[in-house]
Amino acid sequence: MSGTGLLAGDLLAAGEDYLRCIGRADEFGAVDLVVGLLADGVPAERLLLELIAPAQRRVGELWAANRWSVAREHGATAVSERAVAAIATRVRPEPTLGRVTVACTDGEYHALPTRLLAEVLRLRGWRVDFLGANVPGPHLITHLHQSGPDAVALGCALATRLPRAHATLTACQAVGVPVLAGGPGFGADGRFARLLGADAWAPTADAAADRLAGGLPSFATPSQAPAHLADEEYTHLTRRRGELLTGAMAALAGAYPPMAAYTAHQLDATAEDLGHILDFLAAALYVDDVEVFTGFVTWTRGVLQARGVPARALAVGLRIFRDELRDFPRARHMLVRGIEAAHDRGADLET
Amino acid sequence: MLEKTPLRTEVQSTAEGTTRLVLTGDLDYDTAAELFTLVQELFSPDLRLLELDLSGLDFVDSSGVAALINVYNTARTRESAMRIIALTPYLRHLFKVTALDQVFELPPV
Amino acid sequence: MTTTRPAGGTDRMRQSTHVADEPPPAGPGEELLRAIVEACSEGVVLCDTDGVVVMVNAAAARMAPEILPGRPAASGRAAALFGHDHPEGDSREVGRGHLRLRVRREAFGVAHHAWYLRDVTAESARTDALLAERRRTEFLVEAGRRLSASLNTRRCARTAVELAVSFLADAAMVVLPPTGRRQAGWLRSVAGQHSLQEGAVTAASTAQVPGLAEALAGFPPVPSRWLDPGQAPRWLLPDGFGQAGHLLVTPLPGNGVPAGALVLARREGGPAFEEEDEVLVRVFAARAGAAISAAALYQEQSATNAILTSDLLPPALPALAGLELAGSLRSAQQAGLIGGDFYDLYLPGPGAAGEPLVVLGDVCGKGARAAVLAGQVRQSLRTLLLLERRPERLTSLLNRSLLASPSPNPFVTLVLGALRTGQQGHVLLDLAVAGHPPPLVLRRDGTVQEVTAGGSLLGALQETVMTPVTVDLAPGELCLLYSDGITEAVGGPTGRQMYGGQRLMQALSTCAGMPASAAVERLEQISTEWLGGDVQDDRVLLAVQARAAR
Repeated sequence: MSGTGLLAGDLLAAGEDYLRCIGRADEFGAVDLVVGLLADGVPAERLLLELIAPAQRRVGELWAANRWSVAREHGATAVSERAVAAIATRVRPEPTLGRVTVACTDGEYHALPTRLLAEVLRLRGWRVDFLGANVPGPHLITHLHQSGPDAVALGCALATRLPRAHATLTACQAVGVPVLAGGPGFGADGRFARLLGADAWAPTADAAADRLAGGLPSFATPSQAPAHLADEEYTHLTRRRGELLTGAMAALAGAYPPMAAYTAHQLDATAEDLGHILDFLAAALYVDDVEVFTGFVTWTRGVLQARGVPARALAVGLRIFRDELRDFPRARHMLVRGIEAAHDRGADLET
Repeated sequence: MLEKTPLRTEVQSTAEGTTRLVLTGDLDYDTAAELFTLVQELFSPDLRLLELDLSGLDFVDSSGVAALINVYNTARTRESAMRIIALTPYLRHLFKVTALDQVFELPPV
Repeated sequence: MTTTRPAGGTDRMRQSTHVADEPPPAGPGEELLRAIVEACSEGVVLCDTDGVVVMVNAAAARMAPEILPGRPAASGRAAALFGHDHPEGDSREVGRGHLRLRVRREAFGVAHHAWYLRDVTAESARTDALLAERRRTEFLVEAGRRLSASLNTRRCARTAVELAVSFLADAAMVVLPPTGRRQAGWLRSVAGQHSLQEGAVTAASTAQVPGLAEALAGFPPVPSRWLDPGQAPRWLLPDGFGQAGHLLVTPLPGNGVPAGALVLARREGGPAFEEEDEVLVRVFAARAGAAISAAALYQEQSATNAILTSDLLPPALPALAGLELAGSLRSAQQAGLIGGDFYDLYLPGPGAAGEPLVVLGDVCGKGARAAVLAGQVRQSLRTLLLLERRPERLTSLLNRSLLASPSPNPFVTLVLGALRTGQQGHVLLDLAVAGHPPPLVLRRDGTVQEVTAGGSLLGALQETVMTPVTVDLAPGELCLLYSDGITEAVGGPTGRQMYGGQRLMQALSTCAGMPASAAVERLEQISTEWLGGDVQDDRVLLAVQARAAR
């Protein structure tokens, strides 16, 4: 593949070392390791996509399985950022292709995968402006006017950001710049990228680079809003979010007496968990896809089980919302399917 | 977006040379100038004490604090006094953080 | 049902009765009929079964003089008019020299059929002109939509050349006015090719194309120019384009400033640029020119803004010996990055004595006005540092400087910290807190403490009080400076709770063991999520961390 003689197996072994380094927040160890591999002739793109990216995926799994703490997860990610920066300062090809703006959706903080894409595009010869995490829509549009790129690569890791990703996408297209969408938020097969009118979608950073090399339309055609939004369930649900959560907290306190002894922090955490249910429900309504919601329920159940919280707790929350949302046929249907998913014993998260 | 409440002001004359100003609502970036304008009109040569009742203020931001400092400074240059006769626990905290509790005359806790 | 008769049946009965009552009129004679046919403005050619012409009227003879009685109709030039497969009763249009004829065939019994010819030349020219006009209008509407989308000169120029090759020419080039370096940038597109070509030529080279230099200068005003393709310099046309047959150079009129020129090329053998093409190109050039010059003005202004605001942006935080710094600033003004919250780092000059100093503060007010005051505070501190490095003395000097400031409300709250390295990797932080929320300290075990320092806000009162304090950070421990935009953020699950100091302390305690950058990013994320997309106030965070032991 690479002509350096280094087989995939060798990078796999290096990956174990790398994961150990970032798990200890050992910046120097991690940077020395990638710089050493670069010196041995491993192409920078392979280091990004076959060493750092898989290690970061593993970090996410280790956190979900409750084997790594939040602090360890964040520390590891911070070290990976430094490792990426170390590669970027050492390998700087002259830009020969056009100009691309790479940004995360408004509210999106999972910046590393998007950063990896930015670096891969740079390595392939694009002139890249990487705007980072949580880019407010107006800031991105101002940047587009100032820099006039050929395309925007927009990352979205979480389905809950899809409505804002949609707004950003539409705004980019309104100023004529085509958008390439990427990241798990747009669906494993990119279905939400298509639904929301992205000009292109790619599942991985290298596929995105290939897709951009093939050329996007030079002028984006603004897309129509999805027809199912006409029932306004999404709009009403998001508008009533605070009220629904206040009601749900009261209902939960009635259904679950130990809550009376909760600390302020525990109450916050509970409200936050219920808030996530509503946010994913809203996202599922926005794209009219029940799997967005059931997928979230299944994943949450795994995360909770890894922390010794029974699936029952999740199901109670889902039932409260099902009872509350009488006038929302689409939302109720999704909640019913979510309750099924919360009880499904066959889909436990492997740890 | 949070709905904002306007600033309401009520002027009462309690005693000879004393004027009481009761503020309710939000004293912030959008309303601070209103207070300043009103106070400029209140100060007359025979005003010796301006009492402020701040217990009805829902929200005060840095511009609001700035407006109160301006009232205080105006009172000093006009050789009269400003006294705060009532305030919310939040405002008391805010005055403590900015060390204004050592400058303004506040009611005892 | 059975007794009723449909109404139509009754009518027909009555009609036929009526007709039967009238006496039959006398039929016209053959001479009269022939005269009527002769006078008809439509051409009539009557043929027998074999297709031999029996009769031609004057109108038909005018339109096709070669049709003569006694000869087959479809012979010679007339063959194109009379097809054997022409369906009965249908009409079709046939071009004939400069004429356009509509031909219809009707059968009369088994023995005869007639061809009717109508001259529709004028009518069809009107329709063609109307369709062409509609296509031009559609093109201009689309051009207007696309050209108005962007405020970027390169994208506007790109859109212009791509639109031009979709409708006006085989290749199109926009040459932008020369910039300071006497280089004129250009963009070019070729019909049927996806990729865009870009380059630059010297201003001197533009003089090789007649009319181009004048169009780029915008003076003297020049109309479009038809060029002799033989005179075109090589750089004007794309490689492999072949011989250009027709070239047109049109100035792009901007809003008071020239926006460049549009060069259109059609290949040899293609249609020439007619007078009406030139009119369309001129209208198109006006729209493209307006878009490009608006974009140029916008970019010039935003470049000026960028220079003016660059001093107001937070500084880069370099790695320092033994400690890590990380900051985050989120402005309430969405598109701008500046506001009343700020942080800064002051390093002693090379060879100069003294410790690095950090500051984080919040000036009264919002937006650009507040940002300017924040910039003044940062600048004043930089100057005052030449005289004084002790934080509590600095705040007092800064207070006097602010009181002398012409700003109407020069009120500032801030935290100043001088950074010293202690024994065994410890970092000592001498803090002065001027009317600002006190910093928080995260210990190794996750305990969070509020610093006890306090003092007056600055710029408001003649006398200030200040209680400084020194914080001792063991390796890995962190001191967090923040603004009230963080703690006073209203949101949360129900949308109406204030975030508050307790939540911030709780969130900070979960950051034990993280590098400073990760801790700051996490706290900013939690705060942003608390706000749930709402933007209320500027928010700023700055963490000072004693570097963790390896």
